Amino acid sequence: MVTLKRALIGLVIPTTFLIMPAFALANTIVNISPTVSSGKYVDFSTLPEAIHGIDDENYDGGSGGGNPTVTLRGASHVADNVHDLRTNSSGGPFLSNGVYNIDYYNSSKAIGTTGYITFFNDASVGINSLDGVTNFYWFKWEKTASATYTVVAGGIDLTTHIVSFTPLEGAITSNDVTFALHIYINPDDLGTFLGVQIGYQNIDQNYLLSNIPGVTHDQVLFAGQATTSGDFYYTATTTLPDGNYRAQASIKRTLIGTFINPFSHINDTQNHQFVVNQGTYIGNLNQNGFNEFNSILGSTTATSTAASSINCNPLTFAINQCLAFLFIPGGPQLDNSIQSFQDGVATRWPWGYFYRVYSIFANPATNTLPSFTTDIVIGPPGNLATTSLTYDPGDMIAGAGSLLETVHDNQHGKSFREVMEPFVLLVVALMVVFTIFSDITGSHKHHQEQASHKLS
Amino acid sequence: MIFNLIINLFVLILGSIFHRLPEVTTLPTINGYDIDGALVTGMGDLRTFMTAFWPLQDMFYGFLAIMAYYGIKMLARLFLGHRAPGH
Repeated sequence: MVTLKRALIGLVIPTTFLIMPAFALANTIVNISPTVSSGKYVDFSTLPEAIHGIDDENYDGGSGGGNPTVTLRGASHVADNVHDLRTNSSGGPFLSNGVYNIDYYNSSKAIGTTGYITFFNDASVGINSLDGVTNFYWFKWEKTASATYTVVAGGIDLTTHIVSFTPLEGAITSNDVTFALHIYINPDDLGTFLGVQIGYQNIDQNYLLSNIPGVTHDQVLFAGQATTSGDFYYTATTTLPDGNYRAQASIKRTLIGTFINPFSHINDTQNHQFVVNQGTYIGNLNQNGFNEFNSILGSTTATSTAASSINCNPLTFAINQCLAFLFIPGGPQLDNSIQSFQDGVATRWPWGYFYRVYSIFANPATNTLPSFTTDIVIGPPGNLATTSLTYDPGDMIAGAGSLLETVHDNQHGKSFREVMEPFVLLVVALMVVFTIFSDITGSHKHHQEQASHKLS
Repeated sequence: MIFNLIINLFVLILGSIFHRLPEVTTLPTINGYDIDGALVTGMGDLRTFMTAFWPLQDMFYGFLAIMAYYGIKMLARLFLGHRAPGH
């Protein structure tokens, strides 16, 4: 409902975004965003070695047409749209990681040329060949090098989707929070309303029990409609007080007016929950519960916990996995619940004292044992020459411990510990069992004591 | 997930009731004697021994198991009174 409300709000607000020019995408592995001026280079920094074909693509420069072509200096033609970059501008091979200059030819329009070409090669998804050219690296050319596309089987994901947005899930930030949204809009998806929105809400208030009046709960940072394709970026820095927050980014297909088309494949909403400096007990619970609900409902709004809920998809239903998903506790959520219990219940007065004792017992920290140094008179009577003697129990313990660890049984190659520890554990276990057994049965009590119990 | 949800709701209810109580971060100091500091220091020293001398560590785990038993017994007696087993 909140999602619907946000989308509705977003679509009412006038369109204010998208300055990127439209471009043709005949080949799904290419993304070219010509921008500004001067300086262009190929970033090979992520490559193990650089023998690469490169697929360039004519693009529509926008603003009056023209089809400027990216030409790579030193590149030779291999196949249509594929060039071999095995030589650079000075004639030598690209054999090492680094940044390389490329040439750029603009046939008709003074379109900016600053950009980065970032190469992708992920053999795990089987995209290291194209048009018969092997060892092929996918690339994109864009204004900034920081954006990251999702590499999917068959190439870079150029469907309309949320590429990334921050703060990331589980992030802990300072009070100045940077909200950054990167959306990719495929040209084929333009045509009807396409609403884009990013916002956040404060989730560390218990609205039933302790609502804090005047604190903004729900805040829309940006809302508008996509009218051109390509990359859309939104960045804003907002100062927020400490606490738990949930950021939400969405892109929605709408039909008439503000009615969202629920059957559109474009509808993509993602939530990231983050903490500004220090979360609160209620906020952590809210965060935890949100993830659980998303998993149960199998909502597409969950980014990190929706995967296991796919087992309950009626089209690909697997009863054993679905039941396991529904009833077997999930580790991270259970950990969060336990943590919440510790924070909100176990540490509270008066039973918190018991929990404090448990915490001290469970704390793995060790102490440095104190050492002492004393001066000893070593000369004959009348000679007060002294020497110092230092006693460091830490060294002695470490030495003894090292001996216990390193002594080996030559015949079987086992250490002293490997041989003896099972016996020590057996004795300890027997003592534990005996202690408990004798306590339950009362066998450790003296006969007189037992008799007095009977008399009483 | 359902189990998680039930646990989370249970924790939420308990937390809503009890989180207003003061939080215990340290054990009290009685007559100038810092019980918390003494316990932390003592356990730190003991663990220093245990890291080097593994039989001591094994024995300590046994001790913890017995402590857990008496803790459960104490809770059972608290809730069940004279009906607690072994009473």
